[in-house]
Amino acid sequence: MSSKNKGQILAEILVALGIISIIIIAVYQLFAVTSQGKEFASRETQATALLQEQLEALKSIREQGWEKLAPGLYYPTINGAIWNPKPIQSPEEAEQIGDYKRYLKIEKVYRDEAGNIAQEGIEDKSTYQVNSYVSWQKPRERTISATTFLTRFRDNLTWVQTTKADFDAGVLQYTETTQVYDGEVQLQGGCQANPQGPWIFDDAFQNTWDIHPSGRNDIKLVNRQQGQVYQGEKALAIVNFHGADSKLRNGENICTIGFSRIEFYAYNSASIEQSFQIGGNWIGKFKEITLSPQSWQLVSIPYEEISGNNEENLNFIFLKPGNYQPDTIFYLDNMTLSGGVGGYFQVGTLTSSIFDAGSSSSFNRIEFSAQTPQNTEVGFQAAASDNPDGPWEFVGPQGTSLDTDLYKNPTGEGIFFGKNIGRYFRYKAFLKSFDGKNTPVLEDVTVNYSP
Amino acid sequence: MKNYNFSVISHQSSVISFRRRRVGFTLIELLIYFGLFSIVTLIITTLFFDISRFWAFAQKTDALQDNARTIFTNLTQTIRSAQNVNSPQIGQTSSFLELNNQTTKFYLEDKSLKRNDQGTINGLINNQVEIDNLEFTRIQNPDGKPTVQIKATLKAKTILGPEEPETLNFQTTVSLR
Repeated sequence: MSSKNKGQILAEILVALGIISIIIIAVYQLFAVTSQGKEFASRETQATALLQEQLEALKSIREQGWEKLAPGLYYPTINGAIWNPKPIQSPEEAEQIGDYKRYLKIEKVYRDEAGNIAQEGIEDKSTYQVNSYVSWQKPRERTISATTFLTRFRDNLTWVQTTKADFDAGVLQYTETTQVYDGEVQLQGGCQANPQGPWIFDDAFQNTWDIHPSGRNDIKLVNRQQGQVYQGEKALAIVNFHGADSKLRNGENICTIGFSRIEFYAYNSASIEQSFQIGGNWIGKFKEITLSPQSWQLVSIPYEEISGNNEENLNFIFLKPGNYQPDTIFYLDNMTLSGGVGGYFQVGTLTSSIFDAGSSSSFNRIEFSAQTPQNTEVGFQAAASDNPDGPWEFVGPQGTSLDTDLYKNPTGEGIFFGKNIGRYFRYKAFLKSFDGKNTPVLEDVTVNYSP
Repeated sequence: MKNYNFSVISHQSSVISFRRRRVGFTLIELLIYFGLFSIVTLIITTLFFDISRFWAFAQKTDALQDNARTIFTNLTQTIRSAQNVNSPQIGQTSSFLELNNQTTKFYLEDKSLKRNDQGTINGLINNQVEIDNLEFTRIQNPDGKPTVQIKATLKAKTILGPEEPETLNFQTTVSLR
């Protein structure tokens, strides 16, 4: 019985010891975990402060200039009292601050057609995704991170064009600069304030065109019976070459600006094919016209082919023989101007001088002020490039170069996303007059950009 | 009588035999008891020391963390909503910070961080910690808002015994909004 008792007591003690040791181990574990938790929390407080510092540094770097940022790995470092990004090759080269390592990763951002950030699409050169990391080894390896999207600082810098000199520095086509206020651009033309259609009717021929100022009867205006002329009633011109140039000269009042073609009917009275040459404004450009025997034929010539260009008034037409036959007689009738409505050019452009923003920039908005009388319009296209020599791809809000795809809102419109980044910038202003009666007047252009 | 004697003898003999067996057993038992008792006592004592050390550590860590967070929040919010930074100057480092046309000042006094708002002085940390080092560095931020880098070393005051004091290094940067 006694020996039985002894064994029981030992077993009890062992069991008790076992239980106590389990409890002690559990208590130790509890303290160990709690103390580790406390240390984690403490580490995180410090790491969060470092992470925030890194984000502040990033913003500071952005404010120094968008070009300071590029995709890659960096850590911020103070250099000359200023935050600078220090590029690194891998996270192992991260900056060591006490027990912590930190670095950031800058990545490109793409947007879909709706402008939302997507995995694929058009690269948004004004937005970066930045992942910021702070990691530490003790008591256990851990990393905290933050993701931010960084956009260009909207610095609201502007490029303003308003003076005559500003506009004169650009390339003008069918437009001209004026100085009524402080420099404007308008369409060329307007010498016929209120055009009523073609001016050179057969029966009003004499009123608008003179003949042979030299006195030689190379061209005569004559009256004929109906039926002998092409479509009119009385007058037509007889061209009778005597081996010299024949001339038609328009009168003082005629204004050909706003037209681009001259049209008339010509009749070859000979029984064989004949030709004559036509030129304008004494500049030596001639166009050969061949006429079948004894038939009326429509002659339609872009007058840039015989004259300098159609921004100049067409003051003279010269006729001279082609394959010269003595005493060949041509008849001309129904002479009109076409290819426009007269008055003002229907479309003129100003391609601006090149603006240098100093560094690669995002060109955000284009605003302008203009007078737009009835049936006129002003619109813009924009182009940005990293090279002052171009290429210049002018596009409108739809991203095309069509002359109907234009920024037309004077209070400002966002420049087509994806083609608005570059160091150099130009705009192309389109001035339009649908009926030639009035011209729009462009007064100033403002372009907002963010370096 | 005979019976009585027998019974006495038998009783005596049984007592003797009992005593002989019991003495050896008690010694071994005592040794085992003492051995186990000392082990248990040792373990429990160690445990108590560990608990108290942990308690001290926890107190210090909590104190450091609470105070660091208080400083961090207070400085961050104040600097972000400040109108301007008067001191330190750009590129310079000092142990105090003056904001809002010198109406707000953060400075170190008796190893404690004080905040002075137009004459009203408040301490930002409690008596469980002290600040060993405090630096405000003004960073240049071209085209941007004034930016201040803050570096501080907080030290927990010893609570139990001459143990190693815990410290917390704290570094961040805040700019005006």
